[in-house]
Amino acid sequence: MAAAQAAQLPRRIIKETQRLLSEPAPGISASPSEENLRYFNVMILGPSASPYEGGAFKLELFLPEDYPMAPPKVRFLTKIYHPNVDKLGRICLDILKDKWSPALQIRTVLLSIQALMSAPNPDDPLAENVAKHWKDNEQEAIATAKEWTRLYATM
Amino acid sequence: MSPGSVRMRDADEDSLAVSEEEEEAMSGSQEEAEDEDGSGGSYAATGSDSDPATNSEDATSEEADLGVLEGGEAGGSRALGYRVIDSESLKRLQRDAINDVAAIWGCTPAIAKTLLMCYMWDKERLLNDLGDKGQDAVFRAAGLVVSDGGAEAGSSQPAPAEAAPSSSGTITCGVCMCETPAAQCSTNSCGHAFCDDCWQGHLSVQIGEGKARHVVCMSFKCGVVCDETLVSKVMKGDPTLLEKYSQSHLQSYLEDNARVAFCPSVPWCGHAIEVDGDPYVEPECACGLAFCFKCAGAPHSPCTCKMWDMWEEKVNGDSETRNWLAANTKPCPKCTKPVEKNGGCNLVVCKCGQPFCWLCGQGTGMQHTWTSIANHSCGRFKDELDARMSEAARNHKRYMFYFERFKNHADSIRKEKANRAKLLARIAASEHDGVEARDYGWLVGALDQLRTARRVLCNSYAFAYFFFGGAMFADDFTEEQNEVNRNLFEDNQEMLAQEVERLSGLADRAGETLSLDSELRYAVINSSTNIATRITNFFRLIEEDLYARVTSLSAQIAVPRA
Repeated sequence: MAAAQAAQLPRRIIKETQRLLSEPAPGISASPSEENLRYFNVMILGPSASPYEGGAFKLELFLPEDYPMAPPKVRFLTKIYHPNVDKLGRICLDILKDKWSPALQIRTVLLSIQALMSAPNPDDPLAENVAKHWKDNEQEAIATAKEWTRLYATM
Repeated sequence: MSPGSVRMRDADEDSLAVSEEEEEAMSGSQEEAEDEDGSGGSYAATGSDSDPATNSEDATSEEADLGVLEGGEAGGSRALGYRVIDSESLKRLQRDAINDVAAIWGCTPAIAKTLLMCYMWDKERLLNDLGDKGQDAVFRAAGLVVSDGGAEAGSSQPAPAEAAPSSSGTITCGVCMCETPAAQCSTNSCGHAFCDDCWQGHLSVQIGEGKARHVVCMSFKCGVVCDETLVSKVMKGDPTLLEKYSQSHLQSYLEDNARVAFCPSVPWCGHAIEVDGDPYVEPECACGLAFCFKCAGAPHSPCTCKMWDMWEEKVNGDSETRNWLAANTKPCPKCTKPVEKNGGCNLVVCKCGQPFCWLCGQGTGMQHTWTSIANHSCGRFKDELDARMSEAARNHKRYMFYFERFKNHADSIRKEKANRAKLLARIAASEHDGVEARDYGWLVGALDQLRTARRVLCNSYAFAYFFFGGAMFADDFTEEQNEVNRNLFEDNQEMLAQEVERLSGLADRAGETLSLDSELRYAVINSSTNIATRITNFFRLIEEDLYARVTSLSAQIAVPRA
């Protein structure tokens, strides 16, 4: 079934998928779903020296019909305490919206998300209360993020 | 005939076509019959894809209308301060604006267009920024290639696409990751090359999402706008989308432009109005609808937009109810609630318990007979009545006073509008068939003057309602000042009203016979000149003696150009 689907898949997606599987980026794994080759199961390891260190975060990534002219849709499946990620796991990242460029790839998107985990940006928040917490008392917020990582992101 | 500014705007290549248009407009209806040949053709040439014959006729009648309008302004020396834009003139105006900037800054029209779209067609601000912030900063913000050193801004005229790719003859497109022959690839002015299929996909998505006015390069963080050469090259397989792209650019002149407003007619007549600068104008669209450029409401000068908003709400909010109340009830002298007489004698008792006389509205005692109320006699206390009436009842009375006068003039405007259309048609016919030259410009001018004056008069009652008394300006004037102001205002208003009625009568007489009797003609011309002067004086009073002394707000209004 996957083979039949692959025949209709744009060459670019096939190439990207092959490369993601053959040369994965450090700390990131992404593999297409059996049923839908546009749907990827993603795992990002919490970057070292971040509150998410030691955690393994599951995400889903979907390539819409217009991809790569339109950005992929990405969402955290694992609960994460982060000012730019809301309760539903939606991510506030400019390249997933107006700063998207067709020259970007799945790999670059995932690397950007990894970088966002290392450097939260409470000035451009998606989760207001988390961002407020982050700004008012960074120590405490980081502690919560670590706690959540321990609770939800460790196997 | 056509305003000077329009003539000047028509630069180089256009001047021929335009002068023909103007000739057509000037000769007016006489030429309409000949439109099918030569002169009509000039429209078709510049025109859109619709039927050339109807197109040229439309344009002619419109230009003629405009001409009539301007002719109507006494002396005709002052510009109107605005112009009507239709689908024809839109292209011309946009091109003129682009060419202006291109000529002043020495860049290509394509660059000028991108800059102007980025600056909402505000030429002055754009040129100021170019001078103050420098070309590089402005270009970068607008998504244009910043030239290095000596290279001219014209670098966005892309080098031939074939020059960019590698010598091997193929390019690996960074988007689809395919090896593509160089001939099937295109380079944007920023130097980034991708295959045509990907460019097309990108443009389709962007244009489809309504971002046609600012499609940027596919390369990450590049931000340079896709130049039109590229767009037209890669989109030539999809004429529908290419049309959408250019339409969007054309419409940008209307939609993004602070100096342009769409005519608020319903259904929309398809016109827009562009002002010269001052947004406090009350233009008349080619469809005949006049409106306030600022708030898109009906013309309301000397009222400010805010006053007009409040007035409209007051008038339309519950006018039916209000009229019924005014005709059938009287306000209780104590609680001001409207009271309806449901029978019986002239002593009426309000729900609040206050008895009052139905004949005069004054509060009384309860003791009464069928013919008289104890200790009460209507008429003898009439003068004191107003003073005794409560504040609310007085306010209501005040409103009804102004509203009735406002409404009378509004009704006159409506009636005169119908008569005016008929008369203008008869004038046109008469000018057309006579052997000797007949010029009714004086009469048309008088009709225009009459209409302007009626409108001013009508709105002046709404103005007076808010300005003299009421809460709006309560802190700005003392009672005595208010009294003085109101007297001054009413004197001017009355003088204008008298002259308006005089001209109305004269114009009626002149219109009935369409006589060219010189005595009548001079009387009409004199009267319109008088009205022009009186309007000017009226507005000088309103602006300099009334609004100027108000400290609570900065009132700006449109002043009719007399």
